[in-house]
Amino acid sequence: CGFHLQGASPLPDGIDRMYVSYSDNYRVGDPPLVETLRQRLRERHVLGDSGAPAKLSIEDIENRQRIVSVSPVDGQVAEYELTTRVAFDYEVNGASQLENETLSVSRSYSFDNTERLGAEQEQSELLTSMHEELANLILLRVATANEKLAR
Amino acid sequence: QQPLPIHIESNNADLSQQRGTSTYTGNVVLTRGGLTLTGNKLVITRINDRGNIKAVLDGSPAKFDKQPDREGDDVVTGHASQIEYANNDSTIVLRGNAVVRRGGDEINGQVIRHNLDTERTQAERGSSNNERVRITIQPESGKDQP
Amino acid sequence: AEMGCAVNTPPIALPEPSADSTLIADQASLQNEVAEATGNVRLERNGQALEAPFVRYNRNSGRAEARDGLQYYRPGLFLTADNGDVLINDETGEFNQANYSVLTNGGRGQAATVNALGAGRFELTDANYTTCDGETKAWLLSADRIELDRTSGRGEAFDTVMRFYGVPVFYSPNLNFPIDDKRHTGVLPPTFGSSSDSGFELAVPYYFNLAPNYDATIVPRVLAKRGVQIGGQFRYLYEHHRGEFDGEYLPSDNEYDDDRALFHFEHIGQLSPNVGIEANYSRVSDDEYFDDLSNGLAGTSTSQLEQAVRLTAVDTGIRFTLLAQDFQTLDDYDDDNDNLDRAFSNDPYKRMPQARLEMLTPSAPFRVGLDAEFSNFRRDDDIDAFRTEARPRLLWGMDRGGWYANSEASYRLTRYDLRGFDDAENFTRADTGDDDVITRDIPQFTLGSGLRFARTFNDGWVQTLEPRAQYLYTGYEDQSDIPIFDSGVADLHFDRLFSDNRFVGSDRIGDANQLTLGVSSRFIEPESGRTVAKVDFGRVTGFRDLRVNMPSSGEVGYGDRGSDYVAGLELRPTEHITARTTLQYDPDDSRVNRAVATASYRTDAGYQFDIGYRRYRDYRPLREVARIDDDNTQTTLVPGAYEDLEQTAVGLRAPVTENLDVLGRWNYSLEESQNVETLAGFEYRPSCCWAGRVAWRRYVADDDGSMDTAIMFQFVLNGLGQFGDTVQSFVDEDVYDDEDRGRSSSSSFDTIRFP
Repeated sequence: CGFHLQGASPLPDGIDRMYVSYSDNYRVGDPPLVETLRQRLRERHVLGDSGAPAKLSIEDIENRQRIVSVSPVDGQVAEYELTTRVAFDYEVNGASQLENETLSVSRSYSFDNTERLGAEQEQSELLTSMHEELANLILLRVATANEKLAR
Repeated sequence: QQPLPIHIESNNADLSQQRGTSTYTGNVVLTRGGLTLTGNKLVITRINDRGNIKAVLDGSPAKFDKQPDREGDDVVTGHASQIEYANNDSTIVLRGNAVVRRGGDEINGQVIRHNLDTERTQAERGSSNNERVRITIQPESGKDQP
Repeated sequence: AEMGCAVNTPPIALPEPSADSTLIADQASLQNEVAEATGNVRLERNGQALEAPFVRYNRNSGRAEARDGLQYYRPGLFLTADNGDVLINDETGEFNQANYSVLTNGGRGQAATVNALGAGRFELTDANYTTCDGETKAWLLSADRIELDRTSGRGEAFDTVMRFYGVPVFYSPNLNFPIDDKRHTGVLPPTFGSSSDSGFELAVPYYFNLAPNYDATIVPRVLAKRGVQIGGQFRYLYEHHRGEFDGEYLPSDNEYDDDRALFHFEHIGQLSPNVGIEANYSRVSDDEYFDDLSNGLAGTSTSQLEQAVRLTAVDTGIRFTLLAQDFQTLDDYDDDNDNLDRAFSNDPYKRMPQARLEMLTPSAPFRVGLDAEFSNFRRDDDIDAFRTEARPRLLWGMDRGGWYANSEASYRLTRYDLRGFDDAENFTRADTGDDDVITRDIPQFTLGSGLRFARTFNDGWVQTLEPRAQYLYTGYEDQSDIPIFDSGVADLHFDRLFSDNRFVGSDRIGDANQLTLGVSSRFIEPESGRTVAKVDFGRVTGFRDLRVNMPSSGEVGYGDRGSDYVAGLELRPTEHITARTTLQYDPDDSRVNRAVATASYRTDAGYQFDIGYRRYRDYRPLREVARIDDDNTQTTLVPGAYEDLEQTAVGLRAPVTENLDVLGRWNYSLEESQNVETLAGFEYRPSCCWAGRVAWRRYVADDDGSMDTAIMFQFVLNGLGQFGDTVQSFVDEDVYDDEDRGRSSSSSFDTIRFP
């Protein structure tokens, strides 16, 4: 049916290292999206330092939450929706392949104020899995750009 | 007070007394006191018998130059297609793209009357739009002002 | 910020920049230093142009006297006047009976006298000011004196009367307004209207642009039924720190006959490249504060205000966080129901403090990690506990692109030191087997693997197919005697199928011996590489009945018959359209436990349409249900029951015509057959110099389910108010707005912290 296993390296041939850059003036430590990207590349032995020929720069990660349903009985929040949006650039040997590309994913979760600390933990776990999905989406998007580069 | 004498030089001159006019042509220079007029053709007409004359100077352009009577006054110069001068009222009239320069200012107009004694300059526009009076006044560059 | 109506270009030729002054006229005469010119005279000097039938110009003093109607232009200003004198060298001058227009922001008006003071400053007497064009000015400020300062970009009017289409609207001894489009101290568009809580209200915000990186806004707000409230916001933004203070104070609220106050502070910043600090503190004076004083759903729907400070220190492979967190709980169930089973209190445990250490070596394929935590849980009239936990982890992960596999083995050791039994109202020692220490140790093992297939159709479209499997074993230990501090039941999602605990938090570690199978597929557009469609489907099959449960989680969770089927579909056919559906189906009871379908259409022109259907079955451990009979509301507590929540939502924001935007939203609860929130609003811009906004909203406000109504008007005088807020931000605390706003929505729980 035409399906084949995807290639081992997410990089165009002749390029063996990709550097992932991210900086935030107000928070410390890397968000899960950046950690997942680096770990995926590490597992494929293609994670490079700032001198690497391929460079993936995560420009902006924005997490937002809004109320999407309210219990009609007591007006309390019943459901929140989380959205994470990422903007990134990708260049190979200084030539820009992707410029201010944006991706976003959303999840909703129900809220009950008798489990407030639990909801906080659920929000945190949802954000982590959304960041992991975005990391995979970015690598998929980079692979598609590389194929175009190869053609 | 006896009017100042007028001296005229030119390549050639046609003095015909009976018509009371004389015509000088070829780099004509008329001087009278501090005033000097230069041009190509000068026609002098006697307007009375007391020695008053009217001079009409044509040139391309006709020029005039007036040295100041008093120390510290400005030199006044100017040119136009035609300059008229009468020695009785010390006013010279410039016609046709007339320009007068005095003390860093420049006055352009179609007709400019300049009184050599009162140093009053009056300009008028021509008929077409770009023949309006235009006075360019230099910024105060160190002239001794009252 | 929207400026006023465009000023038509001045009917005067612009001067060439030159140091000379040139005087052009039909006739002119020059006598010593005075030049007199007549016949449409034009005087030009260093960027100024003066035109009049007659001008007398003194070349020494630079004074030009213009008579019989003059026009005067200089960069940024144009005026006509009956007559006037201009000191052309130092750009000063006086004009009488003038008509002026400020070219930078469309401001214009008349003045008995205009006095140009030089350096871009003007003083107008008996003058008026507007940014409206046309004959009848929509709004007009008339004042004894108006000062315009082009360098600071500000205007100030003294003894001002504001007229709206000729009708005097308000008087003010002093009014400060901008004459260019930079951020300026000044009045913001006032808002007035009425709400069922507070009757007529008027708010006139005043903005202080204190410095490029900090500003303040003061909002006096008159509430007919309650009194005068003063609100304030102070924001600061430094290179590595930013934050804000918000406050509201209403002395002696007539309806509540007590003072009402709100205080909120948030801050985020880096103390050093490795140490970060976050603070989030909110406090209100009483439980009904938001019900009474907030006109939005976001305010009334949150009842727990976080008060927390978090310190984070990181290094490669290590993250240490120290958290001190408390809550102010509004309408606390415990207050009015003392026989309440303590597991269902809506007053969360304080964590004073919680210290977490997460270590994980950044290596591949093997990684070694340790999660360690110490928490001090405290809650009034309840037992308190120290919880100490350590969880060494061993991970292995391999990724060959086409396939990947990962495994983790971990051993979680937990110790609870319980205390404060006597002041725990309804908690008997028997619950914990009479001792103060509970220990728990649970091994866990996961093994997961997945394949990544792809195929490219001949027109370049790519489809990926990614099957994935994961085995999870979690040891069983009876945890029914452990009180609930930070655990909760999590909704089932595709990602959750692969999570290692069906509960969130650490007080319940769900036993498991299960295999999760899932598959997801994407369709990728050739040119843009955009994911146009994504499908995922999965289920957990258990090999054994589950035994660990939570008091508030209804049934024990999927047993040996396995979990619900979870399916998700997301379509993005174009940049503008997004459709999402998720379905959670229980095969045994053949019942849909969760169904969500949403679609949204957005264009860059600001058109936005959302439609959504949400239905989910949720176990509500306890809820305060109010029965309103005749006039008193009687609240009873409904014990744990499954509740079906079924709601539809429609949202619209559309620029209908060139000068009319419409905003609408309707959220309807099917099973209660009751509107949860209805909102209609529009922004009408009849002229280029003012806009009118109206928003009508009816929403479930109090915990007895009663509806509140609020209607708000706002007049924005373009060029006078600072920021041309759109109608969107006018109703900013709304439900469906996923516009990215500078700040997360008001309720503190919404402040997102990176996990």
